[in-house]
Amino acid sequence: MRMPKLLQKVLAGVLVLFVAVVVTTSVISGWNLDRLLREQYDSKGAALANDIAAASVETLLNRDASTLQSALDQSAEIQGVSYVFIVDDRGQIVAHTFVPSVPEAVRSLSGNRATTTIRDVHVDGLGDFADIAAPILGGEAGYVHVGMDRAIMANQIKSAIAGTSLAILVVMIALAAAGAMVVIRTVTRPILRLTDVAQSLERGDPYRPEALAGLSKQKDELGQLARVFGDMAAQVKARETRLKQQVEELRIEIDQTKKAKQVAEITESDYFKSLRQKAKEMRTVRE
Amino acid sequence: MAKIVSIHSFHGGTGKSNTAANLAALMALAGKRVGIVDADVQSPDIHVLFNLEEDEFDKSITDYLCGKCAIEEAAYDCSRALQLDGEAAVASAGLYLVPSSIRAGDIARVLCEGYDVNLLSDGLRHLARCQNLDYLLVVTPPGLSGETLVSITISDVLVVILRPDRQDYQGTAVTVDVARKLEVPRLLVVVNKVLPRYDLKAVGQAVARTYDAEVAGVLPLSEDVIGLASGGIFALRYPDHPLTQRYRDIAAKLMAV
Amino acid sequence: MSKPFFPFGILLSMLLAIASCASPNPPAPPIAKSARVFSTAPSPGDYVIGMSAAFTGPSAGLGNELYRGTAAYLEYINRNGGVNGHRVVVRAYDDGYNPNPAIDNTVDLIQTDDVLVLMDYVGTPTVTRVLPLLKKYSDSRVSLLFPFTGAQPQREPPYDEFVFNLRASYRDETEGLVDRLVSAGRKKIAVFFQADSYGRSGWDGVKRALAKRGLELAGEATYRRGTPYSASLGEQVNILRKAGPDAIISIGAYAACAAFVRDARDAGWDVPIANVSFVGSGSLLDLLLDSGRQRGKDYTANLINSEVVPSFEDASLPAVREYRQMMDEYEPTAPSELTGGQYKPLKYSPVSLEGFLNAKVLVAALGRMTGTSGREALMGALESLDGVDIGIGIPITFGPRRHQGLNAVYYTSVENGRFVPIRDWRRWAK
Repeated sequence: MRMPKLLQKVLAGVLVLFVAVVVTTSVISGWNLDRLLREQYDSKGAALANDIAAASVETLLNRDASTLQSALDQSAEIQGVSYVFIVDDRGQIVAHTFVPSVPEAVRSLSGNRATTTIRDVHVDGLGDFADIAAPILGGEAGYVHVGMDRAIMANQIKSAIAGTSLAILVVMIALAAAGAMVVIRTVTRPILRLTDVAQSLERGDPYRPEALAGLSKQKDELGQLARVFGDMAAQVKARETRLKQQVEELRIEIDQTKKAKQVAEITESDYFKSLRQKAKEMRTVRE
Repeated sequence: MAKIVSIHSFHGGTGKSNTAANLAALMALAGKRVGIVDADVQSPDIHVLFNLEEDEFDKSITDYLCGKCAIEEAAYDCSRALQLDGEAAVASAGLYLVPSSIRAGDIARVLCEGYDVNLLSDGLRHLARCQNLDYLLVVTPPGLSGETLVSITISDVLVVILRPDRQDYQGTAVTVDVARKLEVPRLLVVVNKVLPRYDLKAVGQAVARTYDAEVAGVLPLSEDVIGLASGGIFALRYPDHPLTQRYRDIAAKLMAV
Repeated sequence: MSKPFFPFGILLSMLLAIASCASPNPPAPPIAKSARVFSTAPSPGDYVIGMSAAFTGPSAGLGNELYRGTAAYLEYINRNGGVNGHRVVVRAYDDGYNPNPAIDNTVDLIQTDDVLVLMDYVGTPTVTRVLPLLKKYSDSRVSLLFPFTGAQPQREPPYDEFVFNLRASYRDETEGLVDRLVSAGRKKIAVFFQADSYGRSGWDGVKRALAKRGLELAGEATYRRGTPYSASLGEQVNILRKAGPDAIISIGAYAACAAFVRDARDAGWDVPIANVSFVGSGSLLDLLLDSGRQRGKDYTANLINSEVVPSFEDASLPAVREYRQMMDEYEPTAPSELTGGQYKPLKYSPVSLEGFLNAKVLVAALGRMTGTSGREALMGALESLDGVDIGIGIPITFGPRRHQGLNAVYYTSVENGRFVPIRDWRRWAK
């Protein structure tokens, strides 16, 4: 089924519209996802930090750092956690999970004695994190810092959006294809039929009214167009036919036998012969 | 020496009179001295076109042919007909009409008794000399009667008018053959009263092919002519009409050589 | 034929993929449960010892050597009538020096294999995570003997009642090293350590030792557990060098520590670097000698290693003589299913000597089990060891409140391609 240029233009416009929709959806989704995930990760981090804070009290006060370290190492395995470290009451880092060393940007982070603090931190070479600081024993024993990886979040958002966009695009393309099918059936086929008939008239082919018969029955604008078109085509054809007929009628038929007879009747009379003689004389005189 | 042009058709109603009147008028306007003779005694109508009322003329061609008068007595100057709304007539123009009698008795007499070919011939020449005419148009009766044949015999040009009608085709074929046998110096065909929806050029070509003769013009049937209803000469009333141009073209052909 | 393999293959690759995602440490290979392998299959009546250690991966040297030392002595015992007529057999699993497999292995050893006692575990992160299990199974009275780690958790309540330690602790080692270095005039000490509880333990020990002397750490840098010798530790070298220390104490595993030494020396930095016993000095030296041969360089200068067992060169000690003789005679190796056939054994090493000594103490305790043999009896027997001579010139005494056998720290450095005891610290005097 060849696609008329009109439909191509429409489909191109629809495609542009789809892309705009997908882009808008992606942006809005992305923004929303970012917000939601941020909340999720931050609350996860806060819960973890508080857990460690609660569990670390006794260890911090009594034990050596390796038990503390063991707990931190376990926490660092949790999805989304980039680092964990504990500072003591003197602000010294007593355990951490950084390799090869604690970044400057993080070293200076302080905590609030009363509540969990969440901060956005950027570390050169490592990326962006949400640092969640929980006080241990009201800050008396120190603070736990849990760093949640923003990059994971960003990647999750990207893949989610990519997935959603892809899904939306697929659905829209499917809908567009279905829509195109419907349009082709109801609009372009009739239009193409009209243009075909017009072209054949142009070429000079005989006009066949049955070509537009079905279409003329439609009760919509296309049907009206088809009826008018059909009338005009019929008129054009009739005029052409008349013209052709007229040219034919100009065939002048002379009954030669009859004519010869009539001519003979006249020219073989004596009167005629005398006239002829007279004519000759007159002409000679004249000259 | 005046040229004698016979305007003839096989059947009546082909528009001879009208065509002849228009041609005469146009030729006069072109500066020629033209005479027009209504030899169609059966249907005298040219005087009407020239607005010559019956009570304005008492002598006709009929009278001459019956020996009742000299021919110049039956010739009326119709140059004022050339005047259009007060314009001055063209200087050397001369337009003389020899009408046909409308008196029924005259018509009948001529029909029964016929007339002498020499009489007509001499009379025409005399008229031409008298009035110093350049052209003398003779509208013949329809059909190849003796009078027509005489007219054809003495003519320099024969204009055969026909309508695009089967009867006319057949009749014209006979006329053309006969005219050729009479060795008419020049034969022109005019197709008149052609329906406008026809291709006029194609019609002209078809006719020319059929009779192997020169077609001087193809005149469409005009509502304007019908509307004028013989109230005057069309070419004078509508000088810019396309039909008038066609008349001019035919007149030009007549005046050429 | 291919049909059943296809889904199995997919399942396995999925498991491996998930497992590799779960482990945050590069590049330690995950030990899937189905891949564990057993040592000699015990017969009824045998005393079965359960062991979970690193037999594969960058710390494979530790598990393998420890096993070999223990196996040498047990081979001797078993060939000579066993203990009270019972054979002593080791049931070993590989944990690759990772805590989660160690936990799984321990559960299996206690519940499925129903071992008499756990012994020869390797590593602080692994042992630290297994300790709560022991507490959980406290009713079954399972003990952990002589783990190859000097960390504190198993030396303190609440876990010290389930664990018997032979080797001196990291605190002992680091205190000793700091003391020697500071005495030599080197007061700016930095620490290079593994980023886990083992490294932290050593770091903590160094800090305490320095604090005792009114000093602070000059600098620190970490590396990830499982880092292979092929990795670059250049970044850590730079960080520490910037701090300008006059000695470095390294708390790590032999692969990473050797790489650190190599990269420091390649950067033209000849600061004295001291490692602790856990590093596996034999394996460390092996790597450095190898690279040294390849590059025509000496990577063994200015290296100090603290040990918690005597030098295996010291033929004056009867235990050392026995050790050398039995290692030569039996040429023990861990089962190839455990090691994957990859491990190249050292002729002698401090780690295998430690395994050997562990086995001696075990056998001494086994011999003293009276009445019912069983976990509780063994614990009692161990606690009854009083001044037992195992041939190293230091008597071993345990008690109900005393589960630490030795406190001795020995210091070695490299001469002619071998670690020998340091006789004169003045060469490091500043």
